Formats: sequence, structure tokens, C-alpha cells
Amino acid sequence: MPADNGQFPFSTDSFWGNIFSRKSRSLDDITYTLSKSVLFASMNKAELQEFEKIIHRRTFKANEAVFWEGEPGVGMYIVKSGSVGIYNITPDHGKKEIAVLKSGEFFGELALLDDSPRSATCISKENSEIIGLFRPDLFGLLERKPRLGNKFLFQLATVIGERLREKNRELYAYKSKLDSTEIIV
Amino acid sequence: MPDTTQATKARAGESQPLPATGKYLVQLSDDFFFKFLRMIVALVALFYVVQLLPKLSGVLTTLVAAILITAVLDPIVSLVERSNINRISAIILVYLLIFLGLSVVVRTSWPLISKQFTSLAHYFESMEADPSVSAFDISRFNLGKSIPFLNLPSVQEKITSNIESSLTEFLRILFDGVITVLSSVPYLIIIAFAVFFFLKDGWKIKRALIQSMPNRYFEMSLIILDKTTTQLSRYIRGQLIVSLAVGSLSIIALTLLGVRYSVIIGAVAGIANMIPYFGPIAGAIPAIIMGFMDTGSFAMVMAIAGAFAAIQLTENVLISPYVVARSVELHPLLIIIVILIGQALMGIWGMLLAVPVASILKVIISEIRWGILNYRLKDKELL
Repeated sequence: MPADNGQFPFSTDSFWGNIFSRKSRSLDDITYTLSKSVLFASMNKAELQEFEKIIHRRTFKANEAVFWEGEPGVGMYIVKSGSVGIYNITPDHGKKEIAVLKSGEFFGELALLDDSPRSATCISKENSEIIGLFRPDLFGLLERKPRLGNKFLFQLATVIGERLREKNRELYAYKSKLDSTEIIV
Repeated sequence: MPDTTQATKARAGESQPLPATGKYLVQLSDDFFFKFLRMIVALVALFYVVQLLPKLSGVLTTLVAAILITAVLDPIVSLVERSNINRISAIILVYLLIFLGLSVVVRTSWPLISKQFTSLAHYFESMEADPSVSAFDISRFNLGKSIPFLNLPSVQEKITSNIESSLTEFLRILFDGVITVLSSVPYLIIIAFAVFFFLKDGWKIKRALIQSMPNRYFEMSLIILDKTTTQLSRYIRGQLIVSLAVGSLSIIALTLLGVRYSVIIGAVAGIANMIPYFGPIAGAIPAIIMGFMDTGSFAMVMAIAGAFAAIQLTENVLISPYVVARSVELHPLLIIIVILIGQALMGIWGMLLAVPVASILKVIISEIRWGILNYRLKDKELL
């Protein structure tokens, strides 16, 4: 059984932890974590259970990389417990933190659409449990349950669209700022 | 546990002090000890598995057959599942459809198959009773007119016995093969059950397999496993569809031409078609010899050769481009080498299995190579 403080019984060794940790958990906590995410917010329990079949649970030690910038993207992750840092590798091989993601937050969702290289590196900041949803499994779901798959894709498109709108607003703000500033080259 | 304390502190946002030197050494040696122990256990397990392999060949064959059939049926079950039918019902529906289809095929073609097998069985019985009686007498074909040295009785005798023995051997292998399949009905039931559970719980098996991978190799393994299984199942499906098409067309053509044992020889042509380059020729030769032996007419030989050429053309232009994955194709020189290796290791079965096995290995090796080139497998915990 997982301890109340969220500590995993096999957290010191992710290899054995990944094998044995599944036996000690109920399915409900996964569906609960999924339901907290905006991507799955509109889904009922039966639909979440379908996703439960295709997700992977991984445990990461502190400072362990989830993926590296430049690697082919395979899918997205949702932080179940713990936290992860998103970094860009600087030209002098250092790392620049872009964001810290905590329980319920997700990242890497663009990799569900194609295998373009990851645009950032993700490293677990502490012992964390992360749920992974990967492209091959999503495509399998789309073949078997196209209605449910499309429902998810629509939600994903909404999230990406919202982000695009936000970036457009930012870009517009920067452009206005730039226009109002008199710079003489 | 020291790690639990560290993790709790990390969660609380406290800084993690470096472990004392002595403690660090103890941790290192513990880690080393457990790694060493795991390696020993793995080696002992591997040793016993290798020892057991010959005894488990029946189980392995059943398992491999079940996996191959699952690869073929899985997309069909998924297709049925699309119509809001749950997976178990979809599997049962596909099983029922296959059972119905097989019943119809067997029921309609049974008289012909039965007749040909009875005739073949009688032939073997007569051969065993009196081996001196020749079913294939070359002297009655008047070949001496165009090829004079064939008039020599010793040459005729030699040719007749050579052709007869190789044809008899060929038919006997086929006959034994079919008898083996028919006598292994209990195995077929086990395979059917295994396929059912592979179809139902395949995702669990795949997930358990991938779940055991360390984080460092996880994404790479996931994508390699997916690409490999996708390509292999497409390859197996493609081969099966091509074999079925070539086999059925050959049976129809040979039956129309009135060749003896048309069903058996046509089925072999379908299976042999899995061997590139050699297969189509190997499939046509028995039919040509049988047709020539029965009629003695070169027109018959030309008709059979023409029929096989037309079937090959249909296969290459209309069927293969749509069902066989190009990425699995091997270089012609490599095909010749692997077929020779297969022949040296396992005879006819080796020749038949060489190309599929080499293709499977090619897919696995190229995908692993792709993974190694594209994923950062070292220094993952540097930062």
C-alpha cells in the first residue's frame, strides 16, 4: 500500500518499483488523477477506465530524466505526485529552468501528434510518480474506439488552441510595445 | 530507510545533505551486491531456460503459432470493436465468422480434397506393396523423337526413377504434413484458446513487458516495440494474404487444367510463394512434372507454366504492392544466403522459414539501431 505521505515502497529503485508498484494500487486513484486534468475533464468513469488501460505509470527518482531535448517525442505525461522541471539546455551544456510542474499538470502533449524532437528536457525534481500516455496507444484507441479517441483529440485541440491564442495575445502585446517604442537604428 | 528520509526531506523542500562517506560506501556496496545477485540469478535462470528449450519445443511452437494468428486477427477484432461492441464479444464474433467460413470452404471442397487424398494414399500403398511398379513411365511419351539419347533404356530408367523418387518424396512430405496437422487437433484447440486470450489481454502482456524497462530505456523500448510489432504483423498478414491468393488461384488453375492432385500441389504453390524468387518456381515445378507425366504433352506444360506466370503477374501487380510492407524486403543476395543457411540447418522447413525469420530479425535490428541513434541512453542522471 502506498504510504500516506506519497512515498513509494520501491522509490529507491525505479526498475523494481515500476514492476511491483502496480500491484499495490487501486485503479481509482489513476482515474481520479486523469479526471483532474483538463484533457480528461469531460469524460465519465467508463471512458476514464478505457484510458486507464492504455496509460503507463512510471516512478522517477529525484534528478532522473524523463526525456531529453532532441529525442523523438513519443507521448505526454501527467504528474501524479512529486514534481518535475522543464529545462532548456544552454549552449554551454548548462540547464535553464523554464517551468516546474506539480501534481495534476501535464507536459509533452504535442508528441501525441507527431514524433518531432522534444523541445525541452524534463527532469524529476523529487521522487515522483508520472502517468504517461503515448502515441501508439492513443492510435490504437482511435482504431478501436474512434468516438472516445476523437473526444480526447478534440479536448487536446482545444488546449493547444487556447495556448495558441495566449501566445498570440503575448505576441500582440510585444508588438504593441515595440511599436510604441521609438527605436532609431 | 535512509532513502525514505531523504525523499521526505526533498518533498518538504529541505536541502539534501550529502551522505557521510562511510554511509555512501555502504550504499555503494549494497547496490553492487544486489546488482551482482540479480546478475547471478538471471544467468542461472537463462542456463535453465536454455536447458529446457528442447523439451519445450511443443509449447514454443504452440505459442509462436498463437502469436502469429493473433497478429492476423487483431486488426479484424479491432475493426469489429469499432461498432461499439466490447472486445470479448468482438473476439467471439470473429471466431464464429472464421468457423462458419471454414465450414463452408471445407464442406464445398471436401469431395475433391477427399478424392485426391484417397488417390494419393492408394499410390503410396501400391508403392510400398511393390516398389518395382512405376507409375511414371517416361518411355510412353515418345520423347526420343526430339531428343534421341532418351531412347536408351538405361537413360529412360534413370530419368524415370529420379523424377519418380523426387516427386514421391515431395508428395510424401505433403501428405505427412497434412496428417500431422489433422492429428494435432488437440493442439489446435489449445492454440484457439491461446489466441483468444492474446486477443483479449494482449495489451496487458505488452504493458507488463514494457513496464519492466528502466526509465532510461522506457520511451525507446515503447516506440521500438510498437514499430516492430506493427511491421511484423503487417508482414505476417501480407504473407498470409498473398499465400492464400496464390494458393487459391493455383488450385483453380490446376483443377481447370485437369492436373492430378491439384488441391495439394496448389496449396504447396501458395505456401512456397513465401520464399522470394525460388518459391514461385518451386511451386510450379511439381505441377508441370505431374501434368507432363499424366498427359505427355508439351502443350500441357506450356499451359501450366502460362497459368503460373499469370498468377505471379497478378500477385506482383495487384496483390503484393497493397499488402506487403516494403520496409521488410531483403536484398536478393541476402535472400539467397539465408535460404541456403535455412536449407543447411533445417532442410525444406528451413528454406521456408529462412526469409520470414530473416525479415523479422531485420525489422528488430533496424528498429533497435534507430532507437540507439536517436535516444540519449547514457548520462541520463548527470543533471
